[in-house]
Amino acid sequence: MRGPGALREDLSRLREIDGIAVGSAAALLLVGVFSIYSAVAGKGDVAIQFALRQLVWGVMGGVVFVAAFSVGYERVLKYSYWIYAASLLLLVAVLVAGYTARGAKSWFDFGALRLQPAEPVKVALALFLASFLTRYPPKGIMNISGAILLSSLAPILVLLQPDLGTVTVYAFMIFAALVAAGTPKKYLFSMTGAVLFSLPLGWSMLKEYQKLRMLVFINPSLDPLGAGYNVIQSRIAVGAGGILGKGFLKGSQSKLHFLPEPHTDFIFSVFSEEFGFVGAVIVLALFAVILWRMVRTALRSGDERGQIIVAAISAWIWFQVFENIAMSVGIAPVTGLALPFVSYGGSSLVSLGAALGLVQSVHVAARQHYD
Amino acid sequence: MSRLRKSPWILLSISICAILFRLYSLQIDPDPRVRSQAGSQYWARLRVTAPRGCIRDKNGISLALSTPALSFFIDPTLWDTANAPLLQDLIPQSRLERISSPIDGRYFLIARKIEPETADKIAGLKLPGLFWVKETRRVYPQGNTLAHVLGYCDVDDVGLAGLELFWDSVLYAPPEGRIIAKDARGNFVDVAIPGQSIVAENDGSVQLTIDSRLQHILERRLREGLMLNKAEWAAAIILEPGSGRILGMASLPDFNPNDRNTFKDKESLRNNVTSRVFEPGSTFKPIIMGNVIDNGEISKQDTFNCQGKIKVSDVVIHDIKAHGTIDASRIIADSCNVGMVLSIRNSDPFQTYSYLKRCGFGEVSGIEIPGEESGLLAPPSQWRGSVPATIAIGHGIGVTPLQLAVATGSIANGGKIMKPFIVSEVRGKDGSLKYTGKPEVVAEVLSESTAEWLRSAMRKAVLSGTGKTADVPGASVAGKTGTAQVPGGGGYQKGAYSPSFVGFWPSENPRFLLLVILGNPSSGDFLGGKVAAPVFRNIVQDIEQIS
Repeated sequence: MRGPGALREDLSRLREIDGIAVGSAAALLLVGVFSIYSAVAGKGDVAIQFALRQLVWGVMGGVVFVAAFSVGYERVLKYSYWIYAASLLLLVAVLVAGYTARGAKSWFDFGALRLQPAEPVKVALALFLASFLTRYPPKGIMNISGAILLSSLAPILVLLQPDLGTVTVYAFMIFAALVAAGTPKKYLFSMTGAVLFSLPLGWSMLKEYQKLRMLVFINPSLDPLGAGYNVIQSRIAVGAGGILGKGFLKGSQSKLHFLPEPHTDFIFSVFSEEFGFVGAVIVLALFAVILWRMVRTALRSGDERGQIIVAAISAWIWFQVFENIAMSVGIAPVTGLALPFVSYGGSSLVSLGAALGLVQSVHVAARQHYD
Repeated sequence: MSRLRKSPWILLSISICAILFRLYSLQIDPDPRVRSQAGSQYWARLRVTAPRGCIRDKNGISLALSTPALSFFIDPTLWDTANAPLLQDLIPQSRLERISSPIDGRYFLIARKIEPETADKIAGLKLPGLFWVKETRRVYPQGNTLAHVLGYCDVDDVGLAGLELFWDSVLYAPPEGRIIAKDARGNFVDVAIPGQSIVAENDGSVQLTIDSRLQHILERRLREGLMLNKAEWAAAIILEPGSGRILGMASLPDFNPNDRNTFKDKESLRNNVTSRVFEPGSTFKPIIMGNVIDNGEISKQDTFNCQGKIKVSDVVIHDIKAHGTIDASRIIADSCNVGMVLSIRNSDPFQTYSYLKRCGFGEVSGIEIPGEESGLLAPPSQWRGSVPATIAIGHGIGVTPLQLAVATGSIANGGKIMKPFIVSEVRGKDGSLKYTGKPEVVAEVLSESTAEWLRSAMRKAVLSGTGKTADVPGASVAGKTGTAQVPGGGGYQKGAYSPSFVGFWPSENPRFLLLVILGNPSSGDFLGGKVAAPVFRNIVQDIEQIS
């Protein structure tokens, strides 16, 4: 068994983490806290509560980060199947006993606390893919099919909620993991082709509101007060920011309740209205730095399992960041995906903390490898 | 794997470039359409009806003012017709029926300028699709008081009659645009331009020379007289003879400017003091008498013989009785028609005409209210036959009560025709002085001594003549009765009279001049001394009590 000395040793390795990546994440967390305050400010006194709660969740994310880092990805991976199995059970449970908000049964409701299991499942999925793909390398059709089949259980369960945005995140994570695991290109291309080919089929399976979202993405004025409303209002908010923005708490789109979901989905719009092009570019740069450092970590790591974990997590963060921002500026259809580190939400922050902890443990391990 | 090492970088770069490009086009080089769209949803131009200026009496008591009121409308696209019954009895029935079934459009007015109590009830229902705007409503706190002078406004606060019309340029404040910030629900949250108030201001005001206390007395007593004598109409005016300042002006039948239902009878809307032309009858005698004495046509000591009737040209002018030998002052005191006809035998029609013109007859006085009549004064070229004689007894000439009061005022004040005025001060919207009513001598028509003599003659009429019923102990009233026949159908209407009494007090140095006319009394009495003089007396008594 590991003694207290081991733990101290683990913690001492915190000094070796990628300060740039973690610092950027912390900076984004603060941007989020202030933006949330501003986004909810129009509703009165609750604003400070929202901001404080986000801060508390951020601290919890930090604790989880330290824990995940200290335990280390290698030790966690030993339990990856169990973790994944437990995750799937959670997803089944939420389908049975979950709480429905905005048309999707995605939440566990504990009164004061609402948790979204699909968030931590992202971490579990990354771990599962790392274990499975290294044990059964995706060189042949059998292994690839097995990996896709087993890893698809999570997105399928989420699809039943239904939460199409998260399903897409999972899909990108699986694809990134397959790429990182060295899947031959022909399989990757055929997979891509198959997805594109099945899009028309997928269209017919979409719900009416989802179809409408796609259509209003192409032409928001199709339904300016309905499905196109978010798109238009968000675009107006971002556009109203101009170069330097209107200044903190001066944005009118969120204050005057034009912007729906200002503290979650459209937090980027709130921020860019108040801090303008300059602020938006800074936030974008912070995300770019995090992704750059993560990709760098993956490429430097000599451990394929670590690479796959980081690849899957990078895909997750990359997709959510760019889908969320693209949606805010009106170049992607509206999905309910949060902006990592910034959007209001505890499940997301804690999961991101865990993910970042694992990535940093890969990073530190890679450094040791080079040392 | 090795060949795909670059793919994350490519993917990352493409995504960042796409977002950057989009941010640039949105924030730095935005589509002007998006900008204007953003603007139009935050801001709205709100039409704010500015309150009308205030009308006050000489003591600053409000006679007409604007109070906040709400107007309600529905947006039919958001309106649920099932909610209509909730508005039962709160809005006009016809409107309620309309909104009980679907209607087109985005705006349907359901209630205009509602009193605060009802408005609170309607607003309290919080019905979807029901909206309101703040407006102001014209209120006349004293109800019928001075209604003819004040006039009234239309629902958009534009003056339609009376002072409201005459001074509309100062009182009316056109609706102002306000830039208002609004939120997504369309609620107004703030005024966009700092320092701008959401409520329009208006410092415009019209201050009158009217004394509300006298006005109330005038109206109460006149109404009493009208009822008692079952008269068709009545008019009374009280003014300061020395200055022409009008202290009170009453006309019956009247209306309540707050209640449009009282506007239906056209007669009610007429200001009988300025807009009714009547034949004055005997109240005209002192004015004519003053002229012939000033001209030296007769002297104050001359005596005349009254046989009870006299034939002039083709008509016979009667008296109520044969007065016998009568001097000039008794002609006035006893209202002797024959004496009057004899007094003007040597008058030059052209001189008399110009005298009457200078007295203000046949001309509008220029008082600051609209609708003033000029009366009927035929040119002297048409004064054939009996006309000079009938004019001498106040017939064959049409005057307004105002003209008669102003002309009689010259007797009270020593011979001067004072321009009557009812407005003492007018201030514009910014509070600047626009007009001041000042005493103005229009003409000097009588000598001081003749005026003094006429005052004593009229005092005699009250002490021992036809006007005894007008006497008020201690007030030293001087006055003259009038019982004019009412012209109509090419002659005079049988049994139709307009009894009147004009007088002033104290007779030596008059402070007040009062004229009372009751049109067409039908209760039996028709003599000025029986019908109008008691009303006059009651008014004088009441005024003496408060002053």
